[in-house]
Amino acid sequence: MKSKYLQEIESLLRQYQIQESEIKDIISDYDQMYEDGLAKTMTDQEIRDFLGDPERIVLELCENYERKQVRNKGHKLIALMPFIALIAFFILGHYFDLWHPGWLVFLLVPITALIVEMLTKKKRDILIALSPFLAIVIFLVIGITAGVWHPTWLVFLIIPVSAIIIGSKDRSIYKMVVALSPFVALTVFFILGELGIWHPTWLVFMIVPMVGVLNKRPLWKCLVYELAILCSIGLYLILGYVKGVWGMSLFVFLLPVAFAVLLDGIVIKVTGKSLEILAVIIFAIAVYLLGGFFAGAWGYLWLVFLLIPVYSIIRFSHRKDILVALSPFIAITVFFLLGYFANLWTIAWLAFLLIPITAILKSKN
Amino acid sequence: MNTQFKKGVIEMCVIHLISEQDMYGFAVIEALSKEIDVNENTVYPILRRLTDQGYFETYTEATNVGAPRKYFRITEAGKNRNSEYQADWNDFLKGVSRILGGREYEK
Repeated sequence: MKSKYLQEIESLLRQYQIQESEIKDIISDYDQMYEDGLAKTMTDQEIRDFLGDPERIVLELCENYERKQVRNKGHKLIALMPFIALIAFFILGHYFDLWHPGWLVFLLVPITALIVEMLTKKKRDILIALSPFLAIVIFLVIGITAGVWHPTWLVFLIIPVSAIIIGSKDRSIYKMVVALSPFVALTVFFILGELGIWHPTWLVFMIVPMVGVLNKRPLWKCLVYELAILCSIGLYLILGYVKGVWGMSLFVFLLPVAFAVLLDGIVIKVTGKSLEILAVIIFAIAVYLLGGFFAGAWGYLWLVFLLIPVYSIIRFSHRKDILVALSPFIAITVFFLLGYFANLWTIAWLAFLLIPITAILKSKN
Repeated sequence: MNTQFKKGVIEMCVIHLISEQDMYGFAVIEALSKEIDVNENTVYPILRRLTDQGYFETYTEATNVGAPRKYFRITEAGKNRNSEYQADWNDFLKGVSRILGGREYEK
């Protein structure tokens, strides 16, 4: 544990322009302090808590040092990327007549900026930040080449899904499955729906409460809830297919609700932050489904899902970071609206320049 | 409490502790955390910075637990800084007391 702790500090220190002798001195000091902790019969975790988190320690230590190679080389690449993209764009257009969708190479500009920026921060954030671009590239490539805009838009579900899977390192597998279940249900629903079986495919959404109660304890309560949901689905299908009373048979879904009232008195206990996020997710899904079903707006209303990370950024990020963090989402919205409604895909990519421009304007350097 | 303000207070406490007796890193963190809610991440970097600024000098002493231990000793510049800190802090506290107490502030 000691060597791991010291290695963590050392590797973080090596990201800065610090003399080798100084790094050795710092590591030697922490080595001594760690030994002092062990001599006082502290556990490894206690010593770690006592001495501090390596990342924070190094940040404090290196306030006056410059970040070296990673940042410098990265910034050169960011600066060069617009030119590389421009050259690639003209080669594709001029020699291969691929002006469209050759303009997609300009997406490399924000993607490079995001990767470089994230490499100096937490690596797990790279995929979250890249997910909107990945989704939009897949969406446009399939849409343009095969004309299958719908249900290709489902690919945008990777935005919330990647945020759920990668975003929360402390989240348990069970909680992750619960959080992912609505998106799995939505995907299955639309894929089977496209094959013409919207009904009773919508019943797939019942996996959400079924997964949700899996963690219910004691075990008999979990079984009661699962059975109640399964019985209501079974009854609904029997009444619907045998008697043809689909509308009335919806009342059977009151069965699990009745059990919830009897067993737990339906106490919804959600704390402030998660309640807010939950409300935004429900709002986004509701707007999307209502807009999709009643206005056929499946193709562009997915933008409403961007509200989830946007709300989270506005509400919980540090004020000075908000604009930079929001810029990819603003750019995507502008880009997509201009492209979708005005068919200006070939120039709409300029919206992505907003990302490096914002980053440069907000940068201290 | 404001982080910068707290860092300043910790810096003052570190100088004062070492002005009273030579100490090693672990002992400084221990002494501080006994009395105040200290951010562990900041203590060693403060010690190191103050040493770089010439307020402390270091020397090593053999121990029976392993490698020789690095001790921090106050320098003349450190002693002067400690006196300045003490004077500034006392003035600051008097001012705060007047404001919070109300009476002398009104005068």
